[in-house]
This record gives sequence, structure tokens and C-alpha cells, in this order.
Amino acid sequence: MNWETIIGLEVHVELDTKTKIFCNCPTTFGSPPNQNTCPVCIGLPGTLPVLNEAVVEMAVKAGVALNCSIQKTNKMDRKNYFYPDLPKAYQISQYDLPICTGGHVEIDRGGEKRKIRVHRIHIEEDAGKLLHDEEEPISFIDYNRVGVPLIEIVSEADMRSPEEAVAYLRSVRSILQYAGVSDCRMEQGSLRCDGNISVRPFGQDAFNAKVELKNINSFKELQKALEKEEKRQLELYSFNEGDKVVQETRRWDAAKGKTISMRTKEDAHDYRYFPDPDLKPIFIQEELIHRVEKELPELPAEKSKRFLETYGLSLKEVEILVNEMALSHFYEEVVEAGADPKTSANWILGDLLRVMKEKEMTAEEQPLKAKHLVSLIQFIEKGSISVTAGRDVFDTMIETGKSPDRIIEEKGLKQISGEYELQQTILSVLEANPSSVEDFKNGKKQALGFLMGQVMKATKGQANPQVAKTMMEKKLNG
Amino acid sequence: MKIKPEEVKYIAKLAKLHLNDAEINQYTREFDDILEHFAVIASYDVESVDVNVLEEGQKAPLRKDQPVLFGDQEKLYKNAKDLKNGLIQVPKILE
Amino acid sequence: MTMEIVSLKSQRDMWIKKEMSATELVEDAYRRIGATERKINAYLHLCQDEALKQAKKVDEKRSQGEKTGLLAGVPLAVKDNICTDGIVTTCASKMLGDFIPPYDATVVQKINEADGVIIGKTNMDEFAMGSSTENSGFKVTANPWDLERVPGGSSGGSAAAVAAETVSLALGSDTGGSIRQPAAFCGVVGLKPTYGRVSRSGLVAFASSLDQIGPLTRNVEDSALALDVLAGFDAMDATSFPEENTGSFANGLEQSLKGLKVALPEEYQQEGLDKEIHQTLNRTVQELKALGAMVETVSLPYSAAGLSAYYLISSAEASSNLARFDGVRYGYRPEKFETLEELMVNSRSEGFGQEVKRRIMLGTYALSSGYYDAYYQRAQKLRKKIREQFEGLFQQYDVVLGPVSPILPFVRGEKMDDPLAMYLADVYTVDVNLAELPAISLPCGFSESGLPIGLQLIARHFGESTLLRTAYQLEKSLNLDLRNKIGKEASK
Ligand SMILES: [Mg+2]
Ligand SMILES: [Zn+2]
Repeated sequence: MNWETIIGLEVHVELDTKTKIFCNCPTTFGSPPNQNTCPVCIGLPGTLPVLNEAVVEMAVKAGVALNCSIQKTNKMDRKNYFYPDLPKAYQISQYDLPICTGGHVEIDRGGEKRKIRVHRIHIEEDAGKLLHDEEEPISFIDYNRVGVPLIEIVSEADMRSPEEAVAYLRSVRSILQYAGVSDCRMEQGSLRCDGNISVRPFGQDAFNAKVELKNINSFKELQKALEKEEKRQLELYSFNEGDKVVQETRRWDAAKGKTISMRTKEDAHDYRYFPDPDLKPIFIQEELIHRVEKELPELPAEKSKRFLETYGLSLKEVEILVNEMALSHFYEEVVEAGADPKTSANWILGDLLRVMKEKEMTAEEQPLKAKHLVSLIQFIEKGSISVTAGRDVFDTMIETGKSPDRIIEEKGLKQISGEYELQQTILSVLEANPSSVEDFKNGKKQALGFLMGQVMKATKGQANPQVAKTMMEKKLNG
Repeated sequence: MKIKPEEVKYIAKLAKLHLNDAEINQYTREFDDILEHFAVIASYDVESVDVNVLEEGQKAPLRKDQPVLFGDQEKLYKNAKDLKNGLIQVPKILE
Repeated sequence: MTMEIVSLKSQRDMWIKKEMSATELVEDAYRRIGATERKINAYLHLCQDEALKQAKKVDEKRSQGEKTGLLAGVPLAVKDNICTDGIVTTCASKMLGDFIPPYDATVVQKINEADGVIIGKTNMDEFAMGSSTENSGFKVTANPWDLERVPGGSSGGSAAAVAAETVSLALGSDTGGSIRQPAAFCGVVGLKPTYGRVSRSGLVAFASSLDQIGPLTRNVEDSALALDVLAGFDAMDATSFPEENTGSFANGLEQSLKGLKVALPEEYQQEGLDKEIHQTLNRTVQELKALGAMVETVSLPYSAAGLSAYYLISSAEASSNLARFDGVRYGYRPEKFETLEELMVNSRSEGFGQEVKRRIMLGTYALSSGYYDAYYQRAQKLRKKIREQFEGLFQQYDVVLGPVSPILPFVRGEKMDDPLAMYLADVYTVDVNLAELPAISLPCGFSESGLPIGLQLIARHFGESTLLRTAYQLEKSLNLDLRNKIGKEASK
């Protein structure tokens, strides 16, 4: 039997505001425990929430960027459940009237565009962070993150493979980064994702029981978790144990590489949602939507199109560059400073990505300065240094942050391109290797390679290979 | 009977309250009386009333996005029973 | 006349004329408490040190020639569900027995800015749930008119404190009648402002969409002066109303009632209304007519659903508002717990009293899946209807008149084991909260046994001026002697 996989994602994104959603506490990451808290966000008796206007604006921005319709009237609701990281024992969220509905995101599947629909986007507050003691049976709570504003983006169950789910998440992430809604740093928890997955025989309309996967912290884990769960469900169905696939929440354990059941539908929560009486409805003015639309920066799709048309890059190259906003900004800076678009792309997609991977750096963290890369490219173009020496200079730039001219100077990497400077070396090499000269003259063309190697060796790699080769050939043939 | 003891038990669980058998019976009895009285609300035809028609007059005032630190963390957590290095301490949480 | 001493205005005037310093006024208040509190039990905590410090500050302000506020020198009490920075705030619950807020409620800030002096926190039904102050986790307050009887609730401590003449002003909170009913039981004036008129920031929430802080005073003029201090938009409360400065509520009190249109709902005079209260209502109608007002009987057909809608909505909100009391961050700590679950469950089971648990359970039920539509949602729809019904009424009338309570102050313990009977006594007060209207409870007569009888006047949204003017004129023409034995003793 042929099976079809059905996946939907719930993506939580931390909004890039200065203050929390309902109080004036700063949202700074990495502050000392409970530093960014006040009576309101730790829910002391008598305190009241007052909504941050920047939250509304950013949620509208996200909605516009993800092609949603903005709901002019929407409201905040309470989701009631007890958990120590939730100081009021309810999360203020949006239930039946979310701020955005019905959008879509385009993903690329092997050159073919697929539309993944966005069901809704709602505003909500984040919870605190729990820390567990290694030895004693105690836990600790840090409320710094409580009340940090989030949007939850709920997709339709439109994805048909783990790859598509990853592509969707990447796309959502880069769109929101470009729109200036969030920095979407998965490693800092500002982008988090839960996945819903089920499988069904091809042609079947009804959905089978779906499983919700929680605790997914990276694109790689998303791919792995979905693959594992897909496999688990397929195996159960194929061994006639389909009844063991039940609607439940399973936790992805990255270390063990498997999903573990957390709770089934039977012991699911009764959240007792109701409109938060402390907050009046939110009315979105037409002007706000217009302003957001007008001020929205270039989004990844437009940027890709422009890169393709302007810089003569391949689709694959554009995709990699544009997916990482910081990378695409860096690339444009380099090109705008006058470097050749194709060569610039080669350096960034080759050497820079290699270094980033080795050093586990994100595009935001990588230290290379655009003007340094531009000048390196120009040194090579002019023949002042060889491509090989260029690689050396590149790595040193990353290590030390020094400029290329200083590195070339210090390392003595300047290329010898003048015929006058090369003349003596070539003559010496020919003189010292008469047998190779003889071989060449007898038709063994590969002897030229050996002789060139000797020239490079004698010049410590500084000879311009093109110039030296032409001169050598002239001498041998002459 | 409007409500059964099992329902009272379930509600207590949702509300994180422990009730002994006597209390469960007492609340069941009382809620039965109370809900009996509340049945009056079913006699009105309110099908056409839409509580989600939100009036512009109810518009919420919004807050400017300007950070202010509360500052006095010691005072803020003075009521905490177990505090360690600025963190609230609780019995181990099993996730 | 000693009575004058305990009116807010007279105390302020004495201070302005330098007949008494703020320190002397505060010391006098504590002397009065010393003379009455053993019998009345109106206060949960007294804050002498803070009060004397504030009094000294106010007196110094005057000697420095600085400008002083509307409440300069006036000693006053605050219901114990209103947060006071550094002063224990318990909501009369064991759950918050040792809770010290790190911030002031907005009304407390306003009192301090107006140079008033808070001398103590008053007793109440736990978390404001109740109509007799018998649900306090700490003590039982007596009605100064008859020590065997309850002072009403939930702001029973505040009403008794004013009735016993220990203070001229006490703050209460009114979710379903909790200012008006104890005011009626204790023979004082209680004002429930329009929802949104007074900031709720720092008021420990019972039912957020219904709660409103207001003053209990000995007369209507003081009520207006107190509202001047308390009212106003607050950026800390998103439900507070952004309003322009309307001037003093005390202005215009003298204006006559000629041509005033008063509505008298027939639903407010039905079976179950005490005969003597009904008679007082009839006499008051005559009094209003004599003052030039026009009184007509009207119908409020949806008000029969008011009580049920009120209990469903208020309990639903309470179940969520009181969920934060889980023993994790502050509040009651159970003696025995091993796991986190036990910490939470035992804190709540031991820390909350009977009535609070009852309402939490009822509210949780009304919101739980399967019951939301039939109870909470339906109650909200009826609330909307009740609101619309009043809006219609106020297109034709200026004021609605009705009883506050269907019954006279009852003997302690009488209704404690019948929660439904206790709830039914709120039947005339809850509509006002559901419709977010302002209302004032005014002493309008006495029973044969000498117990005070209060009636309420209701006005349209933000119609406090009309309300206060009507009450003021009525008070003047009724000219009742509202002093009781306890109060007279206190003034000796
Ligand atoms: Mg959520
Ligand atoms: Zn805060």
C-alpha cells in the first residue's frame, strides 16, 4: 500500500519588542535570574495586564508578511492550567478571535513551488523557565521570560513530508526575519516549533489519528523527529497494529533519537478558555495595516527574484543566500562595494559557509567584514596574489580580523606577475631539469606541469601561474 | 439531579483542590440546589445575542514599548518561601 | 456636636482651620478604635507607625506652606483586598495571611497624594465572597447597631468602621453589592462607581469585569469628596475609562430635584422583599415626589436572570483569578508536602475557606468543556441583555430606585449553612454590576426594631453627579438620626 504523510506545524515566535507583552519589563536575553520581572508579570495579587502597542503592530506585520487577512476586531482570552512556570495559572492568549487568519507561504520543492496555507496567527505570552537540580529533588523557576510576547503561527495540515515541513519552517523563519518581526533564533528559543503528524493510505480522505510532537529545537531535530514518528506510525499500520496509533502528545528526545508519549487525548487538558476580563478587545485601525504594508521591507521571495535577475546566480545559490537574512545582507554589501557578483557568491557560499560550519557560527555571528572580502577579491582579480594565497588570507582574516593588505604584507604573499622578475627563475628551472625539457620536446606534454611546479616551489607560491606558464611555453617551444 | 459526585470530583481536580468524601457530598448537594435555581437562564431566548460583536467604545488603551526595571528584586520576592540565588525553589518538576 | 467630628469634611475643615493636627486626628481615630473594636472587630490590621509618619508629613507640609490635598489630615480605613506597599494585605484569607505587597494600589497612591492617612485595613468576607463578613478567615465583625447581627458584606469591616465612628471614610469594593449592602445594613452611605471610573490596579481581583472600588462614608457629601480623590483614568488598568476632568462631584449637590425622572422597577418589589423595607421604599417614593421628582413604575423583565448570570460570571472569573494562589511564589505554605502537586493542592485546600472553594468549583464547572455554552456563555448573553435593558431605561429616566437588600441585617450564623439563601439576598444589587452602572446605597429609614434600612439609586454610565445630587437631596429631606450607641460611645 502507498502511504501519504500529513504534517502541520505550530510555530511560536518571540516578537522583537523592547518590553514584555503586558508590563514594562525589558525582554533582554540572558539577564540574571528574575531580574526582568515586576509585580505584573509575576502575577502578584491585584496586578493587571496592559497590552504593549508594539506587540499589536508586530503581529500585524507578521500577518501581512505571511499573506494573512488582519482581523480588525480581535480579543485576548485566558487559557487556564496549573504549571509553576505560569505565575497566574493562566496564559493570556487568543482563542476564537485571533489577530490574523488565512495566509500562506511558498516553499520550493525541487524547483516546483508549493503553497502551504497558514491557518491563523495569534498573540500570546511566554511562560517562565524551569531549571532542575542535578543532585537534589528540587527545581528552580526563573520568570525572566514570563510575559515575553509571542505569536503562534498555526499552519494547515498541508505538508506531505518531513522535508516540506523543514522547508516551510525555514521559509517562515526567513520571512519573519526580513519583516523585522523576530530574530528567530532557535538556539535562544525565540523560534520554537511543535509538529502534528499522521499517515493515511493514498486516496483516503479521512485523516487518521494525529500525533503532536513537542520539544523540537532545530531544523535538524524537526526533520529527524518527523521521520522517526512517520516511521513509527507506518510500521504500526503495516503490522496491523494501527489501533496503537492514537491521538496523543509525544515528546521528542533528541539524545535518544525517539519520541516518547506524554499524554493521550483522554487525559488532555480542559483549558477553560474565556475572554480575559482585564483586557478590552483590540481594534486594528486601517491606517496601521496600510502603514505596515508600506513600510514592510523586501521579503525573501522578492529578494530571490531580484538576485536571480541582477546577479546571474543559480537558483540554488540564491536560495542559500536569501534563506539566511544576515548572509544575504552581507552578500549585497560586498557586491554593492564593487566586487564581482559571481566571485562574491563563490566566496560566501564556499569558504565562508565552510568556516561558519567548522566554527558553529550563525550568519549573524560570523566576523568577516564586507570591505575586507571586497579587497581580497580585488587583490586576486588584479593578480596581486594567487587564488591559493587568497584562501590563506581568507582564513587569516576570519581568525584575526586583520585587513587583507596587512595579511599579504605580513605573510609576504604578493604574487610575482612581472616577466622581468620571473625570467631568471624560469631559466634556472629549465637549466636544472634538462631531462624534463627533453621529455617535453619529445611530446610528453605533462612535463610542463612538473616544470611549473618547480617554478612555484622556487617562488614560494608567489609566481603568477598564468604569466609563468605562458613564458615557460614560449621558451620550450622557441 | 443536575450534577453527580463524579463531576464534582473532576471539577475539584481541575481546580487543584482536594475534597474529602463529606465535602464532595456536601458540594454535590449544594450545587444541585444552586444549579436548579440557575436553570432560569435557560428560559430566555438569547440565541440571537452575539457576545462577540465588539463595540468600538470598548477599545483597549495600549501601552508604549518603553522598558522600565522594577528595580527592587528583594522586595519583589520578599513573600517567596524558598529562594535560592534569586530563583524560586520548588519540589522537583517532572516533565 | 460630636457627630460632626467624624464626617470627612468636618475633619478636613478642622485640620484646615488648625483646630486639630493630622497627628491628633489620627490619634483620635485610634482612641475611637480602642473604645469600640473589642465589640465590633472591624479591623484586621492597624498600621500606627505608618499612619503617624504620614500624619506628621502632612502636618509638616502645612507648616512649610506647601499645597495640600483634598484629604489632608483625614484618617481613613481601607478594605483588606486593596494592596498597600509594605503593609500586610490578606483579603481576610489564610492563603494571604502573611502577604506583604511590594506596591501600592492606585487608589492608595491617590489617597497618599491627597494627604489622607490610612490607619488600618478592614475585615471582609474572604476574597470578597459573601454578604455577611462571616466568611473572613480571621474574625467576625459585628453590626454596630446590633452586635448580634452581621454588618453585611463583603465590605462589612469598612461599613462597621464608619458606622462605629472610628473613621469618616473607608474604602470598599463592590462586585455584586459588597459596598451597598453592608452600607445599608450599617446605616452609612456606600457608593459603587461606574465600572472603569476608579482604577482596579492593586485591588485583588474577585471578578475582574464586575469589581469596582468605592467609598463608604457617613453622608453623601463625603461620598462625593471621596470620589473626587479616587476617580480617574489609570494607565495601569486597561479597563479604566479615559475621561476628561469633569470637576468636583461635590459641585451641584444643592441643585433641586424638580423634573427628575425616577424609575421604580416592579421586579424590585416582589415576593421575598421584607415588609418594612417595602414600606421604606414607598415612603421614599413619596419623599422624592415631594421634592419635585416624577416617579414611575417600570419593568425590567431580564432582571429575573440577573442573579444566576451574576453568580455564573463572577464565579467563572474568580476560578481563574484565584488560580494563581498555588503556594509556589507567595502565600500559605502547607505543613505537609513532598511533590509539587501536593504543594499546590494542599496550599489551596488548606489556604482557602469553604465559600471560596465553593465559588472556585462553581466557576470551574461553568467554564469546563461541555458546560461553557449552557452556563458561562448564556450568562454573558443575558448580561448583554440586562445592560441593553438599562440603556433603554436611561433614555427615559434619570435614576432608578430600588431596595438594596430584600432582608434586614440578620443574626450571625443564621444563613451560614445555606449558601443558596445567602446568594439570593444579593438579588437587587447584582444587576448594577452586570450593567457596569453607578449606584449609591443611602440610609432611608429604620425597622421597628431600630435596624437601618438602605435603598439604592442607580444612574446611567458615568452618571455619578446625578446620583449624588439625588441622594444628597433625599438625605437632607429625610434628615434621619444615623448615630448608634457604639458610635456615640466612641465619640465620648
Ligand atoms: Mg500557544
Ligand atoms: Zn514585568
